[in-house]
Amino acid sequence: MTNADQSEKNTLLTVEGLKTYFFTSQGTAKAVDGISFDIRDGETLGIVGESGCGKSVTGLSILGLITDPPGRIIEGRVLFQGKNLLRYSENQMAKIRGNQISMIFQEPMTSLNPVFSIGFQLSEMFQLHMRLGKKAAMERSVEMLRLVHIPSPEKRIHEYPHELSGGMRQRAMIAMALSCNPQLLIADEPSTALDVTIQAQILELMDELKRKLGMAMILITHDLGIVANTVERILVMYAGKIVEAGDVYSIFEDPLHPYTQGLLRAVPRIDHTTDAPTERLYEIRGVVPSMYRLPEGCNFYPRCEKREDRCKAKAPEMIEMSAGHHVSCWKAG
Amino acid sequence: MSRPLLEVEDLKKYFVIRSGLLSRVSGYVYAVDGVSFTVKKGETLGLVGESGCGKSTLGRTILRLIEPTAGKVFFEGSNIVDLDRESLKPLRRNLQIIFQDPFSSLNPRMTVEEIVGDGLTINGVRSRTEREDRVADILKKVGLRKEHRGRYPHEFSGGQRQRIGIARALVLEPELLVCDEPVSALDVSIQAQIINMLMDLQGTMDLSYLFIAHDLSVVEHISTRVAVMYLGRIVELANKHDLYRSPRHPYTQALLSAVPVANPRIKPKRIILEGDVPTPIRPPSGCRFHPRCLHRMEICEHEQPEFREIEKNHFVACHWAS
Repeated sequence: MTNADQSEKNTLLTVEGLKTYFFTSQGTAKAVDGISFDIRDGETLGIVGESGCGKSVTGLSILGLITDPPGRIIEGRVLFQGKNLLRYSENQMAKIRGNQISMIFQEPMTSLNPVFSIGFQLSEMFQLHMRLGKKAAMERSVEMLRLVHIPSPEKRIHEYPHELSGGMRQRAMIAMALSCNPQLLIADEPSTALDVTIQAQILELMDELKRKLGMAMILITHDLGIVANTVERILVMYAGKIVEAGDVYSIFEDPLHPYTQGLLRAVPRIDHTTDAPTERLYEIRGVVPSMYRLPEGCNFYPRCEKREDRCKAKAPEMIEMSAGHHVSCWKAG
Repeated sequence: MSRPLLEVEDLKKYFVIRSGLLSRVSGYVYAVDGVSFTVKKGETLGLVGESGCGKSTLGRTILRLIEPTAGKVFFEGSNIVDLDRESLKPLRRNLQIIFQDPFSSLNPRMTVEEIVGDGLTINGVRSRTEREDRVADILKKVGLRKEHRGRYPHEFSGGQRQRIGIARALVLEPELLVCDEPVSALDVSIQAQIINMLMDLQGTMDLSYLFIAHDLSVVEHISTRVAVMYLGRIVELANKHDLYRSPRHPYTQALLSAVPVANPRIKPKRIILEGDVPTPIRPPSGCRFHPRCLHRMEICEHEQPEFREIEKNHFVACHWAS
């Protein structure tokens, strides 16, 4: 996917200077601490990072799903079709959610309502957003289940979430999320809770649907293996900030930020070609800082092999090192 | 040739399902259904499989944390399945386990000193100074500090708690450590620290591991030999390189092809298996894998394949592969 192709597409969503903090008895957790990015029509963007980096909170902030208290979006804009979603009322957001922007989550068992059948939950979408009658909504629901390759969908619509396997539930959730043909799908760790062979099925399905329906997708995950083959561009997040952004090849083949470099080296690979004795995995020493007590200057300073005094003094800015490849590090370049 | 450290022979564990007003036995969960393998001294046997394959149940059954339904487990020459509690006790110090969930496997009301030192007390180390010394020593080995001794589990991160669990298991200097998904709940960068540590300790403390996990990349990194489980049975067992380079069982092939590769230039040729893993309550007839198998033949539906050595040290249970 070259940058030339990219620039021909329209920008669908722009996030500007987003800050989402959580105000708790333990202090203020700066979950998302000033991030900016955009996504174009039909593009697949990956947000990668480990626990606590703010990737999930980013997705929830876009859809206005941050519970206040204790969370609050204190700064920033989320521009969608020229309007700032952060200024929308709850009623206005309800019309966007599931309709133009949809989200799927990691644990389908906890995000599907256990006391309603799959068919009921699906047809709700059609009745609400498309004003279809009950019968028409049910028919569309069966179609959606077929689209996500659930066998015998006419029978399955009467089943309850607990009667389906993990993979099936995730398919049902995908069906719900895509039922109104949204322009953007936010997928938060959609396959993490699934077995590897089922994960492969789900990723293949999402790929197929992306092509069929032409939607843009933000894929949030900690799994570098998944993003390598699923997304076009990647944002690497660490402790509430974006540390690096670029297309998938640049990130994997020319990582500029020490955290990205460390992360790529720490991933165990299935090495098919050599009999060489097993080396140690690369370790990033230390642990992710607490959101309540972020270090001064660069967030990664305590763990960085390449650190200098200036890194501790001031947080680095995001600079564009080459076309489309941005990094936030005093030492890059 | 010396005797292997651990020899498992046709081990079975069936869980009884009771239903109805009279709690009648209505069926069984065939969690582990005839598993045999060995672990040699100094090696790491990796055990992979997806949910419901029985690998965790197998790990716990070997230790008799769950009582086996049938079969034998020889540890250091004795069949521990037959032993009574008193005779089992001294063997327990040599056969330890670490668990997946660093949050639920530590007693939240005990300090690190108590958690790690308990095993020493139980095994007759009466001297308080000796206990404290040994605890301090093992804490250092797992990368924790003396100051951590008096703290409680909730004060630590997931990775640190996992270290505490490892310290607890290793303070008695066991021969064999069963690792039940020890890094699955950890972030990649912490995972690397823990795996490196386990590999280092294996050398310095002369340990053998039974490493149970679903992450094939992690298992590949740490293991000497690898066994693949499906619905209560081992379907393939080989040296690490042989298994990953030339898997012979169709399930192993599909499993390996499904692993996401962290390289955007390599487009993996995934073998997509149809359907879901069937339930271990009503396993399919014949070969358990036949309903999802691309290469199934008629014989697969009614006859269970034998677990056979098809190449040197490479075992498969499959009609097609044999």
